[in-house]
Amino acid sequence: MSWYHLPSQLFIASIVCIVLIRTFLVSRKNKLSGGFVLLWTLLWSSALLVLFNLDRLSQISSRIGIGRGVDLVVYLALILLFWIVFQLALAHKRLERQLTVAIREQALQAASTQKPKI
Amino acid sequence: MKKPKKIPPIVAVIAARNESGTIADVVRSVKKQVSVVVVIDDGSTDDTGALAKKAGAVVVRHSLNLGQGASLETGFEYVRRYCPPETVVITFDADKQFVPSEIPVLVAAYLKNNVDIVLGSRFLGAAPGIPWLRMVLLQLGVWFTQLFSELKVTDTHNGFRLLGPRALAVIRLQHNRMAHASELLDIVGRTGLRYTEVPVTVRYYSDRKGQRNIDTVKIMIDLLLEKFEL
Repeated sequence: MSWYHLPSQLFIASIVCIVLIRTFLVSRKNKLSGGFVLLWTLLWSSALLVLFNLDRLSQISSRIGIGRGVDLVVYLALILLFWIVFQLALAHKRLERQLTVAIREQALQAASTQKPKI
Repeated sequence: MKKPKKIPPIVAVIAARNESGTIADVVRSVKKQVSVVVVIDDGSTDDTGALAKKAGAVVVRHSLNLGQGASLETGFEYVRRYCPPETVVITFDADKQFVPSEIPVLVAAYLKNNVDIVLGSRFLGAAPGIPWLRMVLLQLGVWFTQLFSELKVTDTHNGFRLLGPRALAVIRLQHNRMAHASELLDIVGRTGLRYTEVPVTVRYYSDRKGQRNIDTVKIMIDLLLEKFEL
């Protein structure tokens, strides 16, 4: 491991620690589901693991044909972000459908006094 | 001698949002051709609903803006709940793009051809003033819809249609915005509803709002998202 990277590693590690502490504090107020807290903690902990094993990361990335370790992290992050955006778009669609049903029902109930004379 | 088919009750469903400039005229002229006009006021911030009611329409009001597809589905549900089962529905636009005197053309095609749905086509009829880019995008829409619905139609995003009772029972629109037009054809293709096309006129005015060209991209995204939805 190179001492050259230590200042940036410590800086990034402190940000990760702040995220983890914040997650812990919010989860104590029961505002987050257990599954989400576990997933979130695992994600950021693995970031810490990678941060202090850069040589290992470089070995893995060169073994799968990607030159630098940091490139592997960027590609994985991009895939994760696309997946999250896609899931959010689907969740947004589901929410919109529920809202539509509620507004439609309210509108039709209000219009029940105007039944047409055919 | 074959007994002529009796003319069923006809209800016009018009989706409108902030159309105070045209809605009263549209309701009055459509009312001459149908039994009842139902205007879905889709969260307007002007007096569209009040003007439509004053002109003689039944007004169903969405408290929030949901989109044209959602408004039409609300209109269809109104007819399913409160009108006789033999009622046919005409879908019509609130912005004077369609010609109310052409409504009998759709009704005649419905009565003559023994179909469930009659689709208006501006490419069989006329589209005076249509911008060339809109023409190209509509043609792309025709190909895109044919890809999804496998229907051989000449116009896909034309809101001037007639739905018979069977079509009204089968078609439940899920797309809130403009993609409902492709979705409707998709349902027609999947369920084997009998359809025919008739020539209609769609007028274009340079000073009016209407479907924007960017909406074509949004429609494609909406349709693709639905295909991946679990």
